[in-house]
Amino acid sequence: VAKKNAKQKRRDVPGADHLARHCNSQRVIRDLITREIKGVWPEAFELRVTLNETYLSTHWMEYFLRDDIDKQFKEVVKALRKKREVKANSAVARLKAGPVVDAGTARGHSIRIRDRSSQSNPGYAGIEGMPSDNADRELLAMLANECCVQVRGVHEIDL
Amino acid sequence: MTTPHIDTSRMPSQNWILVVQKLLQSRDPSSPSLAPARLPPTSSFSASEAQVSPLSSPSLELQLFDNAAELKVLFSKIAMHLSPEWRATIFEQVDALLKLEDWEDDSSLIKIGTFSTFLRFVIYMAPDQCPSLGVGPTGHLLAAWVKGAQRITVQFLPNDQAIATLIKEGTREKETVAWRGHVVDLKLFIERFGAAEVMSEVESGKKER
Repeated sequence: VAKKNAKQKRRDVPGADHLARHCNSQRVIRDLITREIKGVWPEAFELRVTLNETYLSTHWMEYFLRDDIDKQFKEVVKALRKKREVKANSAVARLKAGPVVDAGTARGHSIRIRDRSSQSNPGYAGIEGMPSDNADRELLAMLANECCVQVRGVHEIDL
Repeated sequence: MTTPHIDTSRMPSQNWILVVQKLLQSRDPSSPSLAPARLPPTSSFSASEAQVSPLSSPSLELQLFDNAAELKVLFSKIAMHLSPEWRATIFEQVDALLKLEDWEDDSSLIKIGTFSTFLRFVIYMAPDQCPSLGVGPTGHLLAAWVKGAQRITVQFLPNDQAIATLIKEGTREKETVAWRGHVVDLKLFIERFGAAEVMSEVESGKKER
């Protein structure tokens, strides 16, 4: 019953807000000489088929505080570190929620972004409605390029 | 009649071919001679093909080293087609992708068959610019060519197959196109989409072949 109630309480993340997606160093595109981050691969937004993932794990940045983006990134990394190890060479991609939903609509998917935060995982949010087989490559490319407004390295966030 | 004797001590065992055939199913499971044989698990020659997520033994460090070595050996076989600068850049990136210090739960070893497809593509396509490399969640090698707002990202699959996404500025908005097929056709697709210049020489990240 408690689980059902928790599900009912899940709010949609507003379209003007932002989501953070952690990308390990293997999914970050860097300049070959300067090592500056140039973006992330579409594969950073794939659902893990082997784990039967039904939604994409993200964090709702405005959940932590409204206007300070630097602090939002720090809070996201802090929340991630409660659950797993986060390496300095990995990165966090910042996506605007509205365009994520719009990209889904354009590709024929009904996407919802819902708050899944809990005491142990504050700010946790899921992008629901993505194809479970990752077959829609255009959608993944749109998430990586058109919806992604910024990618910041964890070493930079930790400073 | 004497039993024929075969002296196997002088046979070159390294040239033997072992053929394993499926055993006949026993109608009487109690008969030990006809019971299905329990074969020991076979070991793979390639660590990267055996598993993508190296959480079990041998040690992670050893698996990462073996994976990088396999890829470099494969590269060395076609090294004459690419410049020393390409070799250095590819090796440097392979080492970075398989770095123990950066390894996370969702990191993957690189499947050698996908690296082979990548090499075939760069030799055939002959891009001026060396790509930025990555690894997908399933161990497939990724390559990206970026030039301003335009970019080509390719996920290389085994057996010369690939999945690519091409992004370029349209007259009003960005155009995104996805493609899947043989890497030989990828070259034609990139040229037809008018994105070949993304792979040509650029100010930063320039690497001569």
